Amino acid sequence: MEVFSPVLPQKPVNVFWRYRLQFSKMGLACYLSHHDLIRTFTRAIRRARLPVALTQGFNPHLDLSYGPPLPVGIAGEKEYLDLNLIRALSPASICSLLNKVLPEGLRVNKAWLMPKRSKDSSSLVTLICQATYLARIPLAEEIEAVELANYIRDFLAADEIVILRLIKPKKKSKEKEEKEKKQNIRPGIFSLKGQVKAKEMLLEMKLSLGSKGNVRPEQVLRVFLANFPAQVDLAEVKIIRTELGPPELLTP
Amino acid sequence: MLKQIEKILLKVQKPARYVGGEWNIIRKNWAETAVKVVFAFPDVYEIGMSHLGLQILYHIVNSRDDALMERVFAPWPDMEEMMRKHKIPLYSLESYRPVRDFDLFAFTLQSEMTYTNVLNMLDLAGLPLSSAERKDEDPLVIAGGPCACNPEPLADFIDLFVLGEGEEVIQELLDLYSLMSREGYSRRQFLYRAAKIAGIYVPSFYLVSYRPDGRIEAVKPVQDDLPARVTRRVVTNFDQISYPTRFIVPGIEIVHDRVMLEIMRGCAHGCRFCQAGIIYRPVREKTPATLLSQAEKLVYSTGYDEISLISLSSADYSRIKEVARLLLDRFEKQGVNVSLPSLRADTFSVALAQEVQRVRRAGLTFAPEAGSQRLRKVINKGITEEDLLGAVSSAFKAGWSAVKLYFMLGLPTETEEDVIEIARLAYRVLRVGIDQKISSARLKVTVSVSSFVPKAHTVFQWEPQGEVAVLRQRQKGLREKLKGRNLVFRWSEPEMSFIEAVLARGDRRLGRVIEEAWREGCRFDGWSEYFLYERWCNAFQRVGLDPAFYANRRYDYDEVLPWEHLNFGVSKDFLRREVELALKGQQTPTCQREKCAGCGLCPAFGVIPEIIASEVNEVAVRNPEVINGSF
Repeated sequence: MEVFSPVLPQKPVNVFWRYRLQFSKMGLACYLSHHDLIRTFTRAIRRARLPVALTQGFNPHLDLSYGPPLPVGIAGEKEYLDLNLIRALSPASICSLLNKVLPEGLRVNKAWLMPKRSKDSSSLVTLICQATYLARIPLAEEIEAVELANYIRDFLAADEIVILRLIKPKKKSKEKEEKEKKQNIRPGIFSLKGQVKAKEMLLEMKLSLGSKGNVRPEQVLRVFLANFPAQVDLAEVKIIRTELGPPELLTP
Repeated sequence: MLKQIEKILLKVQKPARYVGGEWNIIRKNWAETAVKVVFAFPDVYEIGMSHLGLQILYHIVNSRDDALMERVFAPWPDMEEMMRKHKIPLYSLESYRPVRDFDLFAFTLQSEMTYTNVLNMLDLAGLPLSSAERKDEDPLVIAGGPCACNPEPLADFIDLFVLGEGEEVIQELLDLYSLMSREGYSRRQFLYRAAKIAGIYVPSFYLVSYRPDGRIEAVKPVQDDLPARVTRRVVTNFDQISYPTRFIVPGIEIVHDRVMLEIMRGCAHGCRFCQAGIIYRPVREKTPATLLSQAEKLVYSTGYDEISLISLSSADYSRIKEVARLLLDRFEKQGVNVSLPSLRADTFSVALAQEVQRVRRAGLTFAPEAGSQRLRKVINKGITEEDLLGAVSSAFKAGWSAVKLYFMLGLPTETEEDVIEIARLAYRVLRVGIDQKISSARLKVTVSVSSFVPKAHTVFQWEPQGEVAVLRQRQKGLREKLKGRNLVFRWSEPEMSFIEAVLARGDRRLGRVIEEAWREGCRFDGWSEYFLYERWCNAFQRVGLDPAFYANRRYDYDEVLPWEHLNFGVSKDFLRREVELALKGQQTPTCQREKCAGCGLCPAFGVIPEIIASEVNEVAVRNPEVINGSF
């Protein structure tokens, strides 16, 4: 297989091949923060010797852009990353070159060559406005499927689900104390389904993500489990982000 | 095990510290590998993973077919609490096996302030603390690293110490272990055979007797066929010494998050307080060809974007400019930077940094160590105020606007006048910045002071440490003088340095104090937020030992030092001569460029400094092929 070295363009180059990568961040990799993930991919790309474009400027670095960050502890099945190459490679070879040098838990599943940059080729962060999460919740005692279904129905029946968020003061602001802010998360819960298997409950939630209202899965779980008939330790709940969306907007 | 661990991980800070899975780790088949070693770093993951010795030994041991090495670090207090609560024993990051399932539990001792962590890790592993109480089936607990040059305070807890450089002696130790485990052996039999390997010190085979005044009477081996003095190991042909081609690359940010390219070992400057300057002698350099080939492999096996040229004093490496330029030529277009970790305070070093560090990220750091020229002569720090101001001036001209200056308080013969000189020097440095028209918003001179700690095997090993109250008062005086625009003052706690001094010059009786302090909850003593001075004081009181006896007493030239039976190569006569010169304010030249100072090490160990030829001419530098045909 042909191997390329990343090369700093001598002068600003406007022609790049833009690729979108879909990757998974599972297992041990879920403990990496978003910053850790960025560092890890940057290094993996150098190990793979991909002909990647470097940014212009005093301290050139790899030109990569990511989708919305995953919180530490939450795994992701279909996460996204955009990168610009200065030479064309087949999407399949990008996947295989990277998968040889990615640490445990990180894997590139698919890659696409994206159309040339145009007005509507927005960044991942602006495109993505929803996410689906799957939470595996160990239960202290078994509950009936009917009981769960009723509980979910009642939960979703509310017009408002208000949570209190602690807002930290901005660094340079005069206010020093944390403030409590009320937020109605109900409009950001697009769907919530559940099932029970022995002493485990699976919850699938589709939630709003991004600047137009952000609802985090643990916020939903905290309210959802507050009056739940069976006891649950939140730290033992495993959450996977199974999809970012709308998916049809993310791939060519 | 991993399942159990994962249940507690989201309850602790930075869970990635405890899960392993990093790039370039090695997981070997447990059942098919004869000797299992776990490398233990008694501090937090981010510090331990920045330790070059770990990467070197991991590479060496895992290169053997008959051995494996895994890693373990001290769990941060939040994790310790969870592990104890959920009864999770200390485990390795590669196979998640309990540490007590390994054959060798190998600590590195980088600082005296990690000793309570060593005990804590033994306890978390479910092992008896005391070497004497451990059984044949328990792992052998071994330790090396710089603090092993006076390991006496840990003598009760560690089965054997490795003195000096580990690259070769670890092989001999593993060979012996491998051989004896096939033949069947008792712990004692193994230790006895190991004690005959040069560089291996088994403290339980040496008996210490004390005089009525508390000083040591004698240290004697229990059997005549054991060496009376154990000699540290030095590797020769350093250019060809085994060096990792792959480094473990952590996912979380560590302290030294870059390729560490060791260009030289040892230091030619004989700073009289410095332990590293003695225990890593003699100076040995690698050739540019070796360094380029190692850098090439390391950059592409790790993916790091920075190569740090590591040594005790990198500007002293004979061909530093050439190596820096070759590396930049090779890697700059790939977005890989080169950096120098330590700078001498002179214009050459700044010019070098200017050429190498295209990105002026952090400020530059210099270590004049003492404020007055008189005191710098006493400690044999061969830089003048002119050097420093010249260096600072070049730094400001080259675009740096922040300068950090390191000093030590409480050095032998220090007076209040010497301390005032620190402030004066800081103001002169600031003046240079103002004269160079560095904008006031960016101009920053940081003065960082620590306290002098007398260390074993150094010229100042006999010298007392200043009392905590005196150190505090000098610190306070200096702080008041350094209140000003663009000046920042940082200091370390004298109480911490006091405990460090006690342990650095201590004898075996201190083992009980360390154990007592640990039982009282002392952990991570090098971290000011966890350092519990009063509990240490209580521990001394309960055991009935006076810490001042170790820290603040002038040791007698004729007394038997706690580390007298450990031979680090530099002769006691030389050290004594050096103290006399120090008190007279006379300097001793570096061993690299001027005449030999006669420390006695080379003849004692049958080695010589390995200095490569100086810079080649410019043509060769510009055309790397001339130097290295394979380039």
